[in-house]
Amino acid sequence: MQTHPPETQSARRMNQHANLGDLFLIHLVNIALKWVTLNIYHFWGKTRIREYLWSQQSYDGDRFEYSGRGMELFMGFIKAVAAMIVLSLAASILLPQVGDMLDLAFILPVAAFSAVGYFLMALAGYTARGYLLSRTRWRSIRFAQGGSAAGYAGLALGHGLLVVLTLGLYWTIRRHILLQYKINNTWLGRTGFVYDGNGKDLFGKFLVSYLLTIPTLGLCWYWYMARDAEYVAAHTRLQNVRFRLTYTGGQLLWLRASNLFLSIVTFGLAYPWVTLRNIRFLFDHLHFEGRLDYELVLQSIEEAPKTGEGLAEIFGFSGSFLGLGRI
Amino acid sequence: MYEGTYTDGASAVRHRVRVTVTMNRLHITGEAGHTLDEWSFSGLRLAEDIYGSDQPVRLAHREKGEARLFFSSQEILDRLIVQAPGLRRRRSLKRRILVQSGIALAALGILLTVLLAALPYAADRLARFVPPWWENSIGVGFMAALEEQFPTCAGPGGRAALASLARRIAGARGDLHGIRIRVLQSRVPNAFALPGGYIGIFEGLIRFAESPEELAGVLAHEMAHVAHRHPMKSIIRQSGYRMIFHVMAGDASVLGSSAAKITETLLNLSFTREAEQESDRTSIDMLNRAGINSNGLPQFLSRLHKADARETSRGGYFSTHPAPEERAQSMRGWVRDGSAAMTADEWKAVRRMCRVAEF
Ligand SMILES: [Zn+2]
Repeated sequence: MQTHPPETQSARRMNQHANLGDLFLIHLVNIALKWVTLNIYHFWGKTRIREYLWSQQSYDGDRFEYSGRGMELFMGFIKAVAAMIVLSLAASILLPQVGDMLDLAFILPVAAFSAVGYFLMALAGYTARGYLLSRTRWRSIRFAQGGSAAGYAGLALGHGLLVVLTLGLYWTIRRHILLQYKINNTWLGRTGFVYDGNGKDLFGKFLVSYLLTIPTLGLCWYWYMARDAEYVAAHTRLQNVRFRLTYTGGQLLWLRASNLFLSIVTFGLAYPWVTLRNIRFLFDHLHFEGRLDYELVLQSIEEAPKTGEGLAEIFGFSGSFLGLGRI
Repeated sequence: MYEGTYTDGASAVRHRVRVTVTMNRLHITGEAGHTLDEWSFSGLRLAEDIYGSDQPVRLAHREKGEARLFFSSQEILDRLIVQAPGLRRRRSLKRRILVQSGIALAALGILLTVLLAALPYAADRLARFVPPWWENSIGVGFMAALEEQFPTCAGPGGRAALASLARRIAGARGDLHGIRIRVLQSRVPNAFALPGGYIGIFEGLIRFAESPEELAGVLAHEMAHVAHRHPMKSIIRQSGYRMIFHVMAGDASVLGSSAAKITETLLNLSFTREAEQESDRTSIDMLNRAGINSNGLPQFLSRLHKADARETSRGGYFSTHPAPEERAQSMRGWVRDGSAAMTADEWKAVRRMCRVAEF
């Protein structure tokens, strides 16, 4: 995709029209404004980046639209801070009591704390994803996320315990259970995405990677993740559209390594470049089969969430969606 | 006439349309020549900022919900910008950024002012809701940490003398009967009150005091802090400032650890001028009511202030108790003569408290 094909001929592909110079300018202005406003601008800067990136990506000739507002992120953050203050006050009540227990029993509150923390992180991730989807439109139609964040977080925590108990062997089973929950609760208007993958199908390859981790210094996981991504795409459906994602472990490793190198030598200033490289990589390898019956893709009548991503901001990450990157 | 595409917001069907610009509206015509919609200029907006000259134009309308008009060329924008001023705002990126940062700075200023002004008031209110057992556990934790650093002086005669002095000062005030006093080995001439009714007196202060009445004045002052719950209020206020600071600095993850930092805050316990005056007033009242000579505190303050002016000691009394001269001055109007705070034997025992511990 060195040259941008005309939008009419580029059906069945995701296309990326962003200009590195523009994104870089936005990024620099954001850094300056964040600095001037003691970081308060963060939420508006993030929104500006998203608005730009979304509007520079198209499918079947139509560009995406991001309709989130900086104020929504800001309010979400304020709400989450209030919740965290309450929680940390509760923690400070418990801390002195924890200190008294010097025998093994002190493991219990520590474990309970980590479980609560883990639950909150999963909750935050799911909520942030829901916000991001609800603010994304394509051909006027809003994306949406159903399900419940608490339900998802409970699932993530429960199956997470099994991962710990099985020394990691359960990881891939859990991953696909969570993917099922997430993808099956993803909507384009009233049309739902469907995922029918199962971690058992990948367990053989997972086991090989598990055993090869130490001899290959962990690099084998790039090949596993490439295979996993291909599997996830192949088992996902939206109405008549099926997906195909075809990159190799070597390509993924090269992308990650070169991006890491870029980030390090520029002290993070290459962020726009790295972001565009990630998006381009995904779009270059993502194929669509079948065509949406547009007459049947109807706007959802449900309300979108009012504020977003607060908790995720506290944990230092934001929603990610369709690999558009953690923006 | 401009060619573009139109989605109505109800389905994902894309219509090829021709748009004509009339005096005050956009007229949207479908391929078959029928009218699809009409959009007035007022309420017209760009769905996203435009950065490059090759970026397509997407229009939205306040009254048309999620319907969108899309043009791959910017020609229509050049025409519309004259008549629909709402569009110009989003087009001039530089100006928007300037305006936004201005608004952000102003909002930040207002927010900070309001927060900082409201915090002391909110802290005083909140302190009433802190249950005693919690307040007590904070005091216990802090006292334990201090005792690790500074050994306690355990001379039994001295402890008993201090306890009976505290009982006399408290008099009928039931809320001060649970007071626990510790004398700690440190040359710093200072005293402090902690949540849960703990009072710490550094050995240096006892050495500096020239009479039991001076010590009684300081003790009464700290007891007054306890009576007014100043330590708890101060903690809440300071953690509030800390949280505001961290949120402003943008490092939200620090919030989680702020509970641990409350301990650090305790080390720098300092009260406001009003809290000091409140405690001064109450302490003189308590001493007068107990019939103890209440000249001690102003006397002590003046002497310490003079000594302190010569050699300023870090962590000294005035680092946590500001404006000594002013305080001494206002107290002189309230003080009354009275009986001695302790017997000569008791005073001796208190002065020897720390030496006993050394053997
Ligand atoms: Zn004081």
